[in-house]
Amino acid sequence: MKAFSYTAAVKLIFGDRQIKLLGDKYNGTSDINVASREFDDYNNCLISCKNFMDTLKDGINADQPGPIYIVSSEVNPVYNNDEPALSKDWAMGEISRLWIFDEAMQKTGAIRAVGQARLYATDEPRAVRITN
Amino acid sequence: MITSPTSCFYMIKAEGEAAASMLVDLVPGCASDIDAVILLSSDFDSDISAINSLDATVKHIKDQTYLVDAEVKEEYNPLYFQSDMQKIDDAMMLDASTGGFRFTAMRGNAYALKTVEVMDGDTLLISAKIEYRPFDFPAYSEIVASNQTLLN
Repeated sequence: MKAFSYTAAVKLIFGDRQIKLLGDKYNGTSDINVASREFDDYNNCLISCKNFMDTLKDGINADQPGPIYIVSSEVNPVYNNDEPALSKDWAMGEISRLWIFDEAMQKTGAIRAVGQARLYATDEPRAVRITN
Repeated sequence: MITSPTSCFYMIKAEGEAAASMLVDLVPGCASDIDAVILLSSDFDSDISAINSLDATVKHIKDQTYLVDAEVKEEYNPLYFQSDMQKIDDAMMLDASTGGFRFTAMRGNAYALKTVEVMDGDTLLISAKIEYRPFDFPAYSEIVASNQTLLN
């Protein structure tokens, strides 16, 4: 039985400018990193991860007047009929990645990402692995 | 006592329900799906500001969670505060291989200024630390000299 989970890392400080996603509650935060629980179903894992990235992307766009950030994704070629992907450093069990990046940079080919999420599959859920 | 010439930053790690509670305002749609969260601060030129900011953040997390009454353990690195010499000596150990000394505080991380742990019983739910950016440590004699109290 497979289990699915994700990790995500988002930068909240661009140069001298700090994004205030939470008002002053977490004043001074420059990076946020999370690790999800395990999901039985890949789609639910993806929905949760997309929700996380979309919410942060909306917060970033609302707080700063600069470039518009969007969420985009790519799938590990191993899980996608060898369709090419920009990333080359896929980890074992990594299915897909979501990025938050500057929309305008997409057209130049240089991706300026401020957030990355990675979705993984494991053969055994965490609870089973611990029991073993 | 050492006065760091570098800036400092803090890191907070929350796990389990503490992580979800911490994120419920930020990502309400998926906060309950998060098992662990790490917040990294930007750099502070003032360590007092870093301490105040960390304390305010930990208090905020505690206030909005079931952790209100949880035990908070705070520890300060005696190397960076006016302390009696015994505490400073306890924070260092002679290293026979080099003939010098090495720092044992805090848990071997001499750049750590302060650590905070929030426990729920035996379970560690929030751990945090303030850490200086690396710098060259002064000699033992300088640390001692800067910590001496002049006698009248």
